[in-house]
Amino acid sequence: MTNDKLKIGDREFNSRLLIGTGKFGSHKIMRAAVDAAEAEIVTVALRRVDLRNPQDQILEHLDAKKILILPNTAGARDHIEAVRMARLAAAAGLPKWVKLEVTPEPRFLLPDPIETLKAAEILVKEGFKVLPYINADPILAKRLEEVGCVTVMPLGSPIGSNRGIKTLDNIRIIIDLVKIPVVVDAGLGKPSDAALAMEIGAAAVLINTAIATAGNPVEMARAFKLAVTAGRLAYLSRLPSEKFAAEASSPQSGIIHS
Amino acid sequence: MQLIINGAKQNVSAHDLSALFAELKMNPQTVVVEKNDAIIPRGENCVLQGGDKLEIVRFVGGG
Repeated sequence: MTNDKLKIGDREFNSRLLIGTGKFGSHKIMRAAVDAAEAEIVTVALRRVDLRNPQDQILEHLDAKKILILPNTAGARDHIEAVRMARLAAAAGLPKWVKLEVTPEPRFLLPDPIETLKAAEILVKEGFKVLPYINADPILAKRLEEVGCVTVMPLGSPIGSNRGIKTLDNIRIIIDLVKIPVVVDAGLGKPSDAALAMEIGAAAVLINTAIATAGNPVEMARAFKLAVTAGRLAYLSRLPSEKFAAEASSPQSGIIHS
Repeated sequence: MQLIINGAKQNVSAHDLSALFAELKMNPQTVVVEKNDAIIPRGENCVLQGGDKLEIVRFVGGG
């Protein structure tokens, strides 16, 4: 495990747990959760400054030397808005990396595959490392790989729903079909959901709501870290096959029968 | 003069961006500005005219 690095684009990471920074009770709790998770990639969103509270600044609470701060395009409804947000984030001095999200439908926040692909093509050409949030569609994942995205981020279930991985079979197909890292994002509600994603060979997971809205976000961050480590170790150790019927673990000879 | 800042009309006395930052008590290192849909590179000042449309954005928590 010591040399088991996550490689995305031209960078390597020790942690396979990405953390979203939304919904935390305070920046201080968010920072403590990121530390407890030992996360090396955290996502942030871009929003209009609140002119009544212009000083609020999340980046002060994150160590950009240790952590890749990954801006998202959350809120974008089409490729034009997503590209605009990515350019603004880069203009703020962050590395040219972007978690691409295009979610025109507000109730389920499912990603628009066509707009996502269009935005990805533009941003890759502009030199961005693009990490697209997608439904668990294997062919879309292939198309995004072909245009030069550095990961794909298929959803387990709708953002913030804590419903776990409802897309398991398609995520397995994506992991089989693409060479870029597959980061399972959205809907993972419990550490066991994260462990499952890692056991089937996901390269990493991204967690936000399940940690930020837990009773104790910092301890939950640690629980997710352990689950991701356990799932990864299980995957690397090659899980044994399932069987329908029992297969005794104890020797079948020399049993003391009456 | 009147500017449109983040979608709302606002009367300001500043005539350039760095004066506007001071007037709004904003740290220029923590925000990004678009003027009339063009990004103003960090650290650059620019002249403001009545009716200019500014978007001033910053990072917040997000997933």
